[in-house]
Amino acid sequence: VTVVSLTSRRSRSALLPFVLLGPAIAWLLSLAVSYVVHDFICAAAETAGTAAPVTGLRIGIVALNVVLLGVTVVAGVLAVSVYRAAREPADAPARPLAGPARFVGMAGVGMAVLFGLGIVLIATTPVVVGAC
Amino acid sequence: MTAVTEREGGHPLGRDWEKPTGRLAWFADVTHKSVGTRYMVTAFIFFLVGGVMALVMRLQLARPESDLIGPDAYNQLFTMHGTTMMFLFVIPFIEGLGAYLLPLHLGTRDLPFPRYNSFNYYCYLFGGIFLYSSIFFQAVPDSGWFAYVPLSGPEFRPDLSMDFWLFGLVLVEIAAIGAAIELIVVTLRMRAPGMTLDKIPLFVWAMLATACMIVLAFVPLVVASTLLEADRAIGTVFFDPAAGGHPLLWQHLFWIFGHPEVYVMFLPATGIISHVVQVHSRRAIVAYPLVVVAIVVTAFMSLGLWVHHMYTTGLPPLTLSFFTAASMSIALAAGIQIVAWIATLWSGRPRMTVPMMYAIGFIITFVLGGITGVMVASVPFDEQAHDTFFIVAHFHYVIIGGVVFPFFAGLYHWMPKFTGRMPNHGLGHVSFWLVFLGFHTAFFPQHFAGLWGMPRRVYTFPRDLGLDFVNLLSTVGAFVLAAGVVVFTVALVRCWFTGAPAGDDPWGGDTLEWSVGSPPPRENFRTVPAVADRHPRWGRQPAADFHPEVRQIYTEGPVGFRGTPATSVLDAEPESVVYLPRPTAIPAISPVGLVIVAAGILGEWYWLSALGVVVILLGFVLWAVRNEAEHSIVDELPEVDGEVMDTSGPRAIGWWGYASALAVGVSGLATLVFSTIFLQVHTDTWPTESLLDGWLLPALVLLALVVAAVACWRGSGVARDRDEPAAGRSEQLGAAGLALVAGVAAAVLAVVHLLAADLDPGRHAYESAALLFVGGQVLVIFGAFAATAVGLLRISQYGPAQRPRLLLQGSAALWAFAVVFWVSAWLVLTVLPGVV
Repeated sequence: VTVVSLTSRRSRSALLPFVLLGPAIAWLLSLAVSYVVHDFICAAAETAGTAAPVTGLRIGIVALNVVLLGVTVVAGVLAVSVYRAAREPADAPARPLAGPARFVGMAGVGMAVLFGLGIVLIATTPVVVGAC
Repeated sequence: MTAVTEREGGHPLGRDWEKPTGRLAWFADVTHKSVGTRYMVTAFIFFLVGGVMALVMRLQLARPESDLIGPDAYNQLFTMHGTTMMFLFVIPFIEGLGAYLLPLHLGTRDLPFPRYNSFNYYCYLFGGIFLYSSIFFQAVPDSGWFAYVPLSGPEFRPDLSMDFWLFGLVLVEIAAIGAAIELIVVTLRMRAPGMTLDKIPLFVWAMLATACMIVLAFVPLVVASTLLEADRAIGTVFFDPAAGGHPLLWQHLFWIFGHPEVYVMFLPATGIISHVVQVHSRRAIVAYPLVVVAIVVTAFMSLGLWVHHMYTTGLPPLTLSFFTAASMSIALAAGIQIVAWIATLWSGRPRMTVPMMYAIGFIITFVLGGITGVMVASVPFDEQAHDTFFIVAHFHYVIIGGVVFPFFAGLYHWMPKFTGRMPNHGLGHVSFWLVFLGFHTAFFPQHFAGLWGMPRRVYTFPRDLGLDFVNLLSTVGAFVLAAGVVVFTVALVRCWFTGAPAGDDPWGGDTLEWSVGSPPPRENFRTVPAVADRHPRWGRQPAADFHPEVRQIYTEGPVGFRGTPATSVLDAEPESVVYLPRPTAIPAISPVGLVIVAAGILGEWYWLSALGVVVILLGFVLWAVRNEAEHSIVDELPEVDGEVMDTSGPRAIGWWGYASALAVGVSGLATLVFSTIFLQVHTDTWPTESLLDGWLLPALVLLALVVAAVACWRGSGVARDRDEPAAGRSEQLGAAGLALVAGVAAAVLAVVHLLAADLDPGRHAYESAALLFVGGQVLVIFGAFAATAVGLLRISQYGPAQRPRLLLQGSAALWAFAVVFWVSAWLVLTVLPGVV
């Protein structure tokens, strides 16, 4: 795993939001888009009196969730690297931001795991429950 | 710094923070402790009123076929009980507690926008009074605290009852959203130097997550209330299926607000429990990072669970299964916190104080409520239990167990800090056992009542259902619970007036509020603290050379104005000085105007509404003029060791205020877009082509808005020099003036575009939506116009400073949002009908 430091301003502004918020936004998108796409396509087909594209709909929802799960995994891997970069050997002098960086790394990993699990649960439902 | 305005007599810092005097002093005090106390006291009074209503309902249900009160009174009672507890007690109490404690926790002297904080309180107070004034007009709301349409619509509730409910709630929601903005900005930008992200107290994390949820989730209820009031007052048809509307839209919008609200109540309670368990176990909380993760995960997931309140509305099975999966996921996050508390108790040295007793009572009760929550997250079970007393039992376990127990723990824990006096130990224990035993006696049997077939929201039950004993038991328990609340209230009042002196830190607390006097001094910290540990009172202290510039400025200073440091988001490095305004009663004026507007609409006295608008505008104008005049002191102050007194961009607190306002706007726009698309796909009478003809007028509106945004943005980039006050001034004035003219043109053209289409908002939901979008557009333009006008005032009246740049940056952002709003309206009303 590449070690990523949070000590530079650039990495802070780019990495921090992604590591902390990426999994959460991926989960929200997973739920919201899965719901909106399914509900609206089913409702639109019913309103128009036509058959809904059920197979395509199920494949589309699963594919979307696989992509979002990938985003979550990437955020988790980056969080691990942030944590590793912040770990200090016992004899090393204290570095600025090491504490917050370790915290961000741990929190990022925790959120990636919990939100990733949530995405897996949502992604598996179209496989076992019929659409529309 | 002390040389700036050293005064004679008393310490100059204390003089700057003196309490206001005179006839309007009570209204004028805008410091966070004063406003926070008002919130908590008002909310607690509403809590007692709501509790009395619950007792009357329990008396009615104590025996079968009772005629103590009729069905109409029962409907009014359960509506007002739910509304009072959810909207007038829990949320405002949380906001009050947050407003009081967060600056103390964070080591700062006040909230970022004290006058706005005061304004929000008056919106809440007047909203609550307005709602209860329905009693005097015999129009008490009776459609449930959820106000489902069509029951709450014009067809079935043609009287004024739901209008009182809608207007009252909108005022209360305005207050909640404003308070949330305060809490977000103070947490992100006003922490004590050194309080990095990993050192923020858990109550603050919980309040930050809660505030973000309020900004995102409460706006849909304001939009929904506007749609329903429009249906009721001006005849739009958003919820009329015969005209392209849909009743389920209300349920979606209400629960998009309503489900996060459960966690808005619960998360601060977990923050309280984390502090109580930590301090009264005399050890740091176990797994702090995981508890923070659990708070953030709970906050996000709560935004996506609203459909689990709609399992019985006929949605497709796959849709329901998405939300079952999500509902199950959130239980993991709640479980993490509970394990952390138990581990802390296990590994600490717990003291069985009153706060600790309530904390343990919370853990037991909330776990039971959480388990039934997982049960009702399952679609087949919920379909059986949904309209029964099982749900009543479940949500009272969650709300009383998960919120009221922690509130009581928190009140007993922080009462010594609030008042400087100790609450009575014996009365506290008596109240705990009465509340705990009374609660479980009241609500545990209701699980069985529900499973045995007792429906909720029905004023009585037949004798032959076999529900007599469980209902009687519930009523007895309710009165025992009420006795506990009375004892608790007596203990608080006694503490406030006659309690024994508490000292600064009677519990041996770990956070910064315990480092100051009890009650805290007006300025909180005579010397702003620096922080080097997650537990500033228990852990290591900062080195003597830690942030010397902060020590120089904030050791018994600054003097001459109310100031406190602004720090960076991640690492809490000092970046600038926050200027905090002085006391004034002006923020109370506009909320009065809002009530006058509502009263005028209810009575159809439109002259009164017009008068109300004048009062609102007058309040805001006085506020802006006073603000800018006082803030000009910053122009005169020297820089101190490179510390910029006044700044613009993300370093300025005001920039974060604008960003939060934009987040509110985006949430509102997203709700409007969702609502319109929802109606389009769920009705077969939606037009298949746009009814808003022509492209020229929309293009001109867009052009005018873009001109306004660009003008303000360019004006905000003009640098001005203190040595040459005139340089750059004319450019900034020109930019602001051009934006104002362009904005007025855009508003006029947007209205002309709507009128040219000859739409009738009472004919079809599409036409109702068009009216609403144009109305919203005009409102957004007005907001941007007002912000720009304040910028113009500032530039024209006062000297060169960073503030005009900040005001123009904020105005540019608002004009840019107006552009996005217009483009969204065009897509939804003009493009989508022909596509979908």
